[in-house]
Amino acid sequence: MKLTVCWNWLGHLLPPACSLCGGAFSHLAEEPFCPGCMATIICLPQARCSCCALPFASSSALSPHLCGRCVQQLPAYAVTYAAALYQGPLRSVIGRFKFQQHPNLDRPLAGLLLKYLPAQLDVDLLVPVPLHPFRLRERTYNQALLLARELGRVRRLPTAHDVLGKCRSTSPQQSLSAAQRRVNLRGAFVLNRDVRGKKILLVDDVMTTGVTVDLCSQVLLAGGAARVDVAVVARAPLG
Amino acid sequence: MPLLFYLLAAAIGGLAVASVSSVGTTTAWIAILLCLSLAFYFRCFSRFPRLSLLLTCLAVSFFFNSQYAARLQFVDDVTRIDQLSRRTTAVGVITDVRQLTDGRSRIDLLIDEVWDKQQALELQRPLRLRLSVEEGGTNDAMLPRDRIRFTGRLRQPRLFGTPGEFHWPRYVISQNIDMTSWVKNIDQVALVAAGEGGLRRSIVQWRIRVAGFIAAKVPAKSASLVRALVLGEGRQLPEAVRETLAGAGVSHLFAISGLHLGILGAFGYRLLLTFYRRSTWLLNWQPPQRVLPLLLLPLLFVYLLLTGDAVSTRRAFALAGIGSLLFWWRYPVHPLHLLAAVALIFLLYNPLLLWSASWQLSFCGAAGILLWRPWWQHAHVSELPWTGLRYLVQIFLVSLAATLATLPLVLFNFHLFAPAALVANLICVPIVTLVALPVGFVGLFLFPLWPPAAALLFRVSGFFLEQLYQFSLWLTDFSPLAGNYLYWSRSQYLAVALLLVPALLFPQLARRPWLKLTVGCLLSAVLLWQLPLGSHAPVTLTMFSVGQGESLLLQNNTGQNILIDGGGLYGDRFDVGQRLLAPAFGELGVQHFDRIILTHDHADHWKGLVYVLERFPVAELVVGEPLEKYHPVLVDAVRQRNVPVRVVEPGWSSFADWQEGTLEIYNAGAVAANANDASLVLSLRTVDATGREQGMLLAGDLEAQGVQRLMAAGIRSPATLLKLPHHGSGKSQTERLFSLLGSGIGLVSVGYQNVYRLPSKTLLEHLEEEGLRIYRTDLDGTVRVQLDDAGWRPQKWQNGLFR
Repeated sequence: MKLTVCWNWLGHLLPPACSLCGGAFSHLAEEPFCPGCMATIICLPQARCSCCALPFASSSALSPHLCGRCVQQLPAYAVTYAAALYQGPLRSVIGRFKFQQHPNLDRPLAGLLLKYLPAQLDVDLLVPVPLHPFRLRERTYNQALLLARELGRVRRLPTAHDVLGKCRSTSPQQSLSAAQRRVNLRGAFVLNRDVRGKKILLVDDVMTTGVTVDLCSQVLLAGGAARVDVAVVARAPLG
Repeated sequence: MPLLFYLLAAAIGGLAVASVSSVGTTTAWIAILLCLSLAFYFRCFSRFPRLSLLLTCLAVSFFFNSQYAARLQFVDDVTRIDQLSRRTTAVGVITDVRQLTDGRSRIDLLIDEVWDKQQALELQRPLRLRLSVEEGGTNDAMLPRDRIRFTGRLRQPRLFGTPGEFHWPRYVISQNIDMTSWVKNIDQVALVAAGEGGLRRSIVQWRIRVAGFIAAKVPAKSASLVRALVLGEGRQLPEAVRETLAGAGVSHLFAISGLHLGILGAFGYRLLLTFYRRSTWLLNWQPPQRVLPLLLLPLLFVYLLLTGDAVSTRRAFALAGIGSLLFWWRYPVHPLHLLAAVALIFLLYNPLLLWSASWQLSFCGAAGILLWRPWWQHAHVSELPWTGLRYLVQIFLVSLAATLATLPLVLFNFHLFAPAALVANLICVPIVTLVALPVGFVGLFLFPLWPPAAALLFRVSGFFLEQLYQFSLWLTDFSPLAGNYLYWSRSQYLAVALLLVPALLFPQLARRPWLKLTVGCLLSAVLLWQLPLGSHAPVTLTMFSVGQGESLLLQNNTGQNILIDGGGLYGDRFDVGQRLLAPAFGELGVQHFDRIILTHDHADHWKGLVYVLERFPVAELVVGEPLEKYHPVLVDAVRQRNVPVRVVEPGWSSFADWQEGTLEIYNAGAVAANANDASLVLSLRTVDATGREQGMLLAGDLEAQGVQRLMAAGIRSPATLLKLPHHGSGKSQTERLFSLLGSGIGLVSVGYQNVYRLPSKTLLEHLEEEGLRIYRTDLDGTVRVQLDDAGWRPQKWQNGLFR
């Protein structure tokens, strides 16, 4: 109680700055970004793939169904939770989080994701998508791990950064197609710990084609995990 | 706007008012409680919740206002020891040692024993004393924690009491000092017991060693520059060098602040990061961006202590410390808010810091840079094709912002306008940030490990600094960019500040509010500039408090200004003209002189005139003898400015152009045996509004013979106002003069506790018994006498106003 009062006063005196635009905003709003910036973030539409959360072009209210790609080859994970579309200011802020050494964006981005995660999650363990040690040294932190820790802190779930490992350094995937990515990443992920019977939530910052999380899920399920779901902050639209 | 800015503005407002008028602690607390309860009422039960903000700010203002007076008080012991007005022996423990220019040094100590003629004085608490040592303090013979004994006059810091004067007691108290003292040579300080251990002791010892090493290994010309840059010993730069750097606007590079800590921090970060990166475990544990800044704080703290704990360094350290803690807690804040919060914390800790020039410059410079951040971080700048060009454009914008933000403060504190700053910083900032400072830091780091390499690096750093200095010298010689000294009043400096506010806020505000603000600032600036400065009485005589000496300003309401003498102390360290007279003229709105009258050729009357002659337009200098017979320094100054000289013929003569009454001057001529008796005497006779005759007699430094000669020549009466001859000496036959004149008001110009024991106590007692009201500069400060309906109305300069 006392801490809350102190917190309120601190917020009045020294209002937190929005991590997106830098302007001050009310700490009482409990939103990850200021109202102006929240308005620029585009939520994922209701009409989306029930597995990989790919937004559909038409917004007609059909019953939940899979997208074309998932129908062709069903991913290993069960459900994808995503907060927003990987577009506009959110895209640039995730870029900053990943590549420009702004680790403190983990809290607002995780906050954004938490808003769209179901209140009751049937999950035992949070697992971040791993980074090869070489890449980790280059970037100095694993952004997926920071996000997973934040989710775990709020939802009181354990996070394990060493469950999955990346044994092979792969070239950056940004310019590759889904098929090329699959080739690029084949055999790159390994399981380091026993996950038998665990219900796992796999955490990453962005889902573009879904290849990375699919390969990770395959490794986890092969290791005996009961079920793998995926949570990402942003989901790239098709194309 | 967040609450923080309102609170900061309220604190600054309350303190600013306090320098003119402040409330007592009890009154303040009653007012604070009243304001806060009303604020609570308005917030919870009324339809005007915004009023509660106003009331809260008012309460904060009251708090800071009362703190000012409370902090500025000296404890009884200080006043008691000062009143002894003789040498005492003090014993205490050293807390800090600093080296100054020309082998001088400064020792701060905590004294717990004071002996007056073999008798110990009882102290309520240990007194904090600043001891100035004139010679021989360049080695590490005295260090913090040493217990020392010395004999000297312990003085309470005092104001002279002139308008626009630098507030020495406030400065000293804001540095936690109660008293000051002085000894000629370090030999006169005896070591009672050597201290041991302690971080500060080792750091001061190390600093003195490094300083000695630099002085020995680097050519003398650049050694002091390297010491100033790397060790923060700006105070040991020779006066001329300091003036050149200030005139070129680059002296901020030699004050340890955000720039230095930033570079040191960046180095440390790079170094630690290479180790941190090696461990996957650490990288998975926490991102280095969160951990390393906290780990670097101890290093920065040691550097803060090493460079002498200056206000600007503390500001930078506090920002770094709080910033990295907030980063660790993942609490993002706007840098301007953080700066304002740190400013408020500093003022809460020590309200008197508001008047410290380094505090003002440090915070306002940083604020200006942050306000202009949208510009220098703008995409146009960061997309410039060539890195070097981008860097130069950024430096230009950043230094322009800092220069604009600090311009009114530099004017207010140093009366200096340095347009060269914009050009100089473009060259000097890259030299310092890219070469001189990093090289110096590596030298500092290598000093304990590999001294020859350190010496080489210090020499390299010194070479670049020497080039920087030569460039500044060249730039300030180039007349359009040379530093100008401007003497204005407080309201005029404020007007300049108001004019700059819109320029600084331009990148932060939308167009409409900015336009409104600009119009408001312009109008207020015009009003403030016009604010009545001087007196509007028909005749005004101002006797400036210039220590042991004399300087009087005679003015009338047609704008004629006559300066009679310019004071002057015998030492070389304190130029009365620069430190006291020029700021006082600025504050009173005097920008030119129709006439300067020098009564006689004694240093306590002419020395201060040299600076006045250099800086102010003077239409005529009036003297009693041909100019060649005066002191060569004065003669040089007069000839350099081509001031017309008029030698008064012996006997009485009058100034026809004086527009209010009759102004006459008496010259005893060559018959006088000594300079005092040759003093020029001034007499003014006029009529007040009620038709009564009023007059004044300014009797110079006449002694007995001079007074007799004056009486023989015929005294102009009435002289209802008398400036006592020869600083109220008992040997000037003042009683006879007074019995002839029957004056109502007597003026005496003397130094506080002067060695001549002037004015004569018996003379003053006698004159007061006879009904003369005496005003003296040592006790009353500057005294102004105006002619109004009821005759002469005297006022004293107290707390920033004539009262």
